[in-house]
Amino acid sequence: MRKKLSALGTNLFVYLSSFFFLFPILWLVSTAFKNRVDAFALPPKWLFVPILDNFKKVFFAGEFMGSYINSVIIAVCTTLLSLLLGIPMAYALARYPIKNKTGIQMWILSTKMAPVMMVAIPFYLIYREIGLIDTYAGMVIVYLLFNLAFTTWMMKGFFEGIPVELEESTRVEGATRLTALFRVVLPLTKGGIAATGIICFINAWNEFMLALILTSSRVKTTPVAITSFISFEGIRWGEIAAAGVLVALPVVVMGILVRKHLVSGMTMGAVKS
Amino acid sequence: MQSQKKSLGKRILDMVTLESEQSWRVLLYPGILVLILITIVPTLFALYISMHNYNLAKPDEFQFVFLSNFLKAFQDKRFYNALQITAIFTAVSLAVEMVFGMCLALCLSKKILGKGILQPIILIPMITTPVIVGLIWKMFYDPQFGLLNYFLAKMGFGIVDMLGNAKLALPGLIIIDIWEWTPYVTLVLLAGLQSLPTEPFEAAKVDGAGPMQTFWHITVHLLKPVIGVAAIFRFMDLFKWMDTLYVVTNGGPGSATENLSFYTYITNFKFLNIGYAAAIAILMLLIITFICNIVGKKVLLRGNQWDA
Repeated sequence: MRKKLSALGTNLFVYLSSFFFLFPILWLVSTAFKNRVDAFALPPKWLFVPILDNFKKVFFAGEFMGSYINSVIIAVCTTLLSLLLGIPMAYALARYPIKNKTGIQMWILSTKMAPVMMVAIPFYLIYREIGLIDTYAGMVIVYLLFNLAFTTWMMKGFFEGIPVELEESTRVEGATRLTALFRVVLPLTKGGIAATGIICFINAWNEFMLALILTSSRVKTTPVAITSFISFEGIRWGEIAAAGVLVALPVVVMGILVRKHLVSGMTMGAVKS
Repeated sequence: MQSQKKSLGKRILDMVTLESEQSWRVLLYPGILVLILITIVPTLFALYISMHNYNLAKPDEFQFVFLSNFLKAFQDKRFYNALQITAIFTAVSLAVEMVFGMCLALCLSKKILGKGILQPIILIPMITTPVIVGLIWKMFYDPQFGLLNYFLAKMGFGIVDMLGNAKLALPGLIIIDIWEWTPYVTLVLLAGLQSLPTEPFEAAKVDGAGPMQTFWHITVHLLKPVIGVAAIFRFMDLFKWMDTLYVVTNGGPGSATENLSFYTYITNFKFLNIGYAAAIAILMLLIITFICNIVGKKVLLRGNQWDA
């Protein structure tokens, strides 16, 4: 009897918590499909005729879709560059005897500790001098700062999970280590590379403060655009919600796809799931 | 010895085909160089700026003032206010998220109906774009049309303007952070729980230990490294928290929710006092580094794969 009660309690607690986490999201999504009257109806209407007007308005609200493309370009470039630079670093740290390896690794990790403003102020001043304010290149460079350390740590974990013998046996057959890397190691870590890349993408896509400070109009990203959308649209919740859904949807889908790696990704590989 | 006899061409070939012992340099240096350029250079620049009186409104008055920007912070009431708000926000959010996250992780490690669907649902808050999170909650708290006030009214309370009230704005933000980041703690701890060995638990059962005893003496004890990792990563983010705050309260009302990050932001971009802003940012970095060095190193370098 007691056991049954405690099992019931556990289930209840999990369901209530899940409801707490899901409710605001459900509310946002449903608001996005409501007309102006329904959006403000209290109690909230859960049964209504869904409309696409809000999405149409967002699509044609000029600036917003432009920022969407900017976000895609910046996030994709950041991801590719992080992988390009981070994978070799990770491989070196995983496989070669390097003097003071722990020191190098801790230093790479410490680059993640910096407060945003500590990064934003010098970058703002330097970019103003060299003309990188409001450019794709400028944004990609500053986002590398947060993603390179993460990529290196995470990929190092994946490389370490592959037995050295596999490379050795390829090399015995006369292939160089470089060939072994491309033919054996990288194909085996394909899943890991994809997960790492997706988390990089999410990081770059979701970032707000640096984008707010370092862009103005040309390469403004969606998180920044949506804040100006709020003040501009005032109280039109339907449209704001539709824009919100468009911004959050890609990263939520990607995050759920790589959820197995999310934990190790978000603890820099310290906890494996 | 043999390698010294090799021709230069062969040595270069070995280097790029990764055959040489020294090939790690080819792999590691490009990334390190980029990291140096984008971390150390700006940090040194910030340090340089912080020792100068540099106001964008009066750029001609740029002069070396050594540490006076840092000393100014210690006499600045608004700095202390920001420090206090950061401390309260960080401590309360961290405590609630750890406890709530632990409870949820423990429950999820048991048999739950429909666990396969619940887990992806729980992780949605933490991957949703923080600005959108701020936006959802801002509408939620809206005194006129928000759902919160509807529920409060149903329960017989008057209208509460969460974000417009100096006493309630900070708790309002803490609730948002708990919503957004408890899932993170839950998932990290759950991963830890699932990797625990089963023998100690069986032994405890044989010895007749109660559930609370088992929890404190075995689960928490074995899980310490993972708990530490979750706490330190949450601490780093909470301490420098900024984006959702910017959208939801913008530091207000007054300076009731102005934390260190936000104070640095307005010092720099509103008051244009760049030297002073850089000094505060450096103080923040020092505090984070100090705390992470004391707590973090102990936690991070023990019981996991970090030191290769």
